[in-house]
Order: sequence, then structure tokens, then C-alpha cells
Amino acid sequence: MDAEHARDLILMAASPPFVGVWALVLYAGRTLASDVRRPGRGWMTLVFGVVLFAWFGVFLALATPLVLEAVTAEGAVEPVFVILAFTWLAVVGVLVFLAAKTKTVCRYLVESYRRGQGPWPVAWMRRWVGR
Amino acid sequence: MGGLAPEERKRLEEVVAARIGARSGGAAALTAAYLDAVERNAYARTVGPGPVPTSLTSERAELLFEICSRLERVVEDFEIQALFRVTETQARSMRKMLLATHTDEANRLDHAWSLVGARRAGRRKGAKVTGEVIVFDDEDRRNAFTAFAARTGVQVERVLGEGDRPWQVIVADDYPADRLPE
Repeated sequence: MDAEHARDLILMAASPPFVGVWALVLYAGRTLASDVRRPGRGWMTLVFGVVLFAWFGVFLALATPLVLEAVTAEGAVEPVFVILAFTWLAVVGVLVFLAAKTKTVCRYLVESYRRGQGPWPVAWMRRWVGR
Repeated sequence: MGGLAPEERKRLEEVVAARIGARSGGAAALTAAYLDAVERNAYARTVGPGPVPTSLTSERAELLFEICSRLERVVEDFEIQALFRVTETQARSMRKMLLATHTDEANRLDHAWSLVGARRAGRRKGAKVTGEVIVFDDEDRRNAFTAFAARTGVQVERVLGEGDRPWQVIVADDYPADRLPE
């Protein structure tokens, strides 16, 4: 097991908050909580969510083998692998949260356009959310 | 044919413009509609097949109807005041009489009137309706619009806006897009 690799992965999972992602989370939260429907804000929230989902998805793909290896290993495990395992769990939670919010964002976008208007993905979303 | 001399017509326009003051953007159109309506009203009264108005109120309602038809909207109370030299209360009741006696055509004109000065303010999700927000100039216009929507089965929800024009509604998407204000 490569401890250096584990440290890099933890850094990868922890880096979004350091690059101002909290501001975007706040922006997305305010957008979805508001009654006002603005297409620009909806698309921004969707793009932000997709980027975040992709980032953590890559983390999950890279970290899962190492986490499985650490969990199934016999004997004492280095603390860095314990931290990685908990980070992995937290990231799974974030991904589930993001996936659960997809429909809300799509509904926001659908409501931002009149029926029959908007770019083609909106028509697809409209069928999905049933509006 | 007689008719007004150009200087008389100009004088009439000036008087109407002065009476409606800062709102005098449409004084020329209003005067033209008024003169046309008077002529048309005189012809219809004498030659038309319908019943003849026998009271001053119904006579005025007929004349107002002709004016509205030419303007393609219901005349404003202040315009009625300027043309007929009546009080604000009388003007209001004349407009109501017009709407009551010419219901079908007046509905269309009333709808056009309700949207005068209105503007769109994006989309919004309300408690019952999601759609375009329309901001109205005053409460009467907002009420006229919601009455029109109720008659035509379009869903609307009144919302209280902020600032000096709080009269707003959210109108559902089954309201025709080409009728929405700018």
C-alpha cells in the first residue's frame, strides 16, 4: 500500500473547499431556495454540480481500490489509510447528495422556461421531471 | 360635410392635452378617436337598426364604446374626465357602465387596457402557479387582468411586489406568449 498515493488522494478530496467551492455551494443553495426562476442561475448550478460530481467521481474511482486494500489488510494499518477510508465515505455521501439534488436543479431549469421554449436539454428534463 | 375647422381641431387637441397633463402622450390619438366616435355615434343613432339610448348614461356608454373601439383599449378614467368634463367618480362609473353594457367586446378591450404600462419581470414559482411575473401600473389593472384570466381559465396568482409598483401576478404558461407585455 502506497501511503504517498493515499495522501495525494486525501488532498484531492479536500481541495475543492480550498478553491472557493463554498461560495458556489452557497450560490447554488440560494438559487434553489429562491422563488425567482432565472435560466442563467439554473445552468450555473447544474454545471457546478456536474463538475463537482465528476471531481469526486474520479476520486472515488482512484481511491476505491486502495480503500478496499486497506480495509481487507491484516494487521496494523497506517493512520493515513484510516483517514482515506473516512474521506471515501464522506465523498460517497456528497455524491449521493449531489445525485439527489439533480431532479431539483432540473425542475428549476424547466420552470425557468415557458413550455416549448429553451434549449433541447430542457425538453428532455421536462419529460423527466414531468412538468 | 361640416366637421371641425383645422384650428378648432388643434384647439381641441390642446385642451385635451392640457387636461391630461403629463399623460398627454396620446392626446392627438384620443382626440381623433373622440371625433370619429362622435360622428359614428350620430350615424348609428339615426340610421342603425339597434335600440336608441334613452338616457344620458347609456348615450355616453355608446360614445365611450366607439372611442374604445378606435383606440383598441378601454379609455382611462382621466381621459373620460378630460373629454366629458366629469368628476373622477363619474368617470369611473361611466367606464364600469361601458364594461357592463358591452361585455363581450369590452372584455377584449378591458384586457388590453389592463396591460397598458405593464411589464414582465422574469419567471417565478408561486404557491400554486409557476410562470411569468407581470407588474401592473395600479391595482385596478391588476384586478382587470385577473378577472380576464378567470374568465378565460388561465391560472394566475397574485403576489405582492416591492417598491412603488407592488401589483404583480404570476401567470401560467397557458396564457399566450404573444400577449405578454415587454
